[in-house]
Amino acid sequence: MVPRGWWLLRRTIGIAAFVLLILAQLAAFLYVPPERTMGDVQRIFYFHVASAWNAFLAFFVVFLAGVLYLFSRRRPLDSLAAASAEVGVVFTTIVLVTGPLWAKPVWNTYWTWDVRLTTTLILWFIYVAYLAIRAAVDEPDQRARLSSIFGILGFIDVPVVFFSIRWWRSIHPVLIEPGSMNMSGPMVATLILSVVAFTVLYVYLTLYVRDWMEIKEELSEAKDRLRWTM
Amino acid sequence: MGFWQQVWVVSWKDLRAEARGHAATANMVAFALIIVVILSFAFDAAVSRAVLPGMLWAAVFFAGTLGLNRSFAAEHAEGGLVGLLVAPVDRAVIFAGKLAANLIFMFIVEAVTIPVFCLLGNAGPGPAWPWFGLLVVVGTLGFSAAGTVLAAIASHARSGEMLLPVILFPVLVPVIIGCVQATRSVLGLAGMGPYWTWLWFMVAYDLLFIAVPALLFEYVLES
Repeated sequence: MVPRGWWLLRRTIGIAAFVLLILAQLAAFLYVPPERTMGDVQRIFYFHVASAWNAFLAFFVVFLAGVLYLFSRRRPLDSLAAASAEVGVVFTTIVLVTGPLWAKPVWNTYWTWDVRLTTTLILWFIYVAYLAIRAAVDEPDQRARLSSIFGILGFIDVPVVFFSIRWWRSIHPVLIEPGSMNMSGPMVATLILSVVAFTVLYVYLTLYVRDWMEIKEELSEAKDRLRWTM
Repeated sequence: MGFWQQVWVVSWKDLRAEARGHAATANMVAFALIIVVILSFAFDAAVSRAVLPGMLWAAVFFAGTLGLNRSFAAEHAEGGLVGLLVAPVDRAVIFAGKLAANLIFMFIVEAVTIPVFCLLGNAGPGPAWPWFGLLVVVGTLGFSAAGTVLAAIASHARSGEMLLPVILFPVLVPVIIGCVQATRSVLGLAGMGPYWTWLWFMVAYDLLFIAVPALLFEYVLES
């Protein structure tokens, strides 16, 4: 059961996420001026960066919850890791969809094997693999243990992947150099608002999925007990 | 028994089981060779020599997953894992022993695949062969270290043999890039400068993926 106080807190975070996201949309589409060279398409930047930040945050939480689970064996920590990984994969998918949509008009190609793009793609594969492990192990304690270990190995692999791709790119010719952007005051403010809004959304979604997983687990245990008593 | 002696006992058990007719190594060799041939058809390697390093490592690593799958799945099937777990040794010994056995299987596969690959591709390291050998050892160690711990994880799962490639290859990306790039240098497709960068990079990967799994292996084998 989800305690009443916790439920209220979660609900409040959800409403805050909803309001902040509306404000972030208004800021990104109406308040902030279009970028000088890229025009309106640059507005996707505010959602792209906010999603990317939360993807990294989510996978750091998976790593941390995995380490803490292995030491403490408290199942809520495993539910937290699982929820965070699911939400993180969704955010990474948003990054991988909005990136090419932005790249096509600006770089004239949907995809380039740039270090950040490629690392994000591999990151997506690593956490899809994490979810695949969870889906393939039935026993809850074993699932928690094995996925915690993979969550740790996957996370320490990310910087190694980043450097391998960076050196690989420095050997191959780089066709498109991502240009740097000079951001004006309203652009920085909109970006910060968007990042905050997405982070609150991340917290809400993760807590929601985590509670849902806990209830699902309780239900299956209750069903088992019922089967024994009947 | 000392640490290395214990490791040897664990890997000797796997080597003997293989010698007594499990024939996984023969399958791996055949699979690696057919991948080389298929990739030659796909990329027309006679025309574009730049694809050769990628062909070699794709073949060796894809074939390698067959052997990794067998490494722990066979233990589950015959209840051998219980025997390993009640043995009075540290869990890190079991990891090292399994890793050593997998490494030897990979070397056998490479000892056949690489010469045939050089023959078919009309390419070779020439006088740079000691550097090629060093690269093969360092790269294969990284593959086997990550592969051993992930195969142990996958062996607990439903249809683990389908799970292993999905969880292994994203983690292996640095080794695959490193092996392919260093092989370009050895085959004369690039200078020797990048070779050393990639070799040291892979040594770092090896150390990371030996140390961390050795620490975590007791959690993998818990049951």
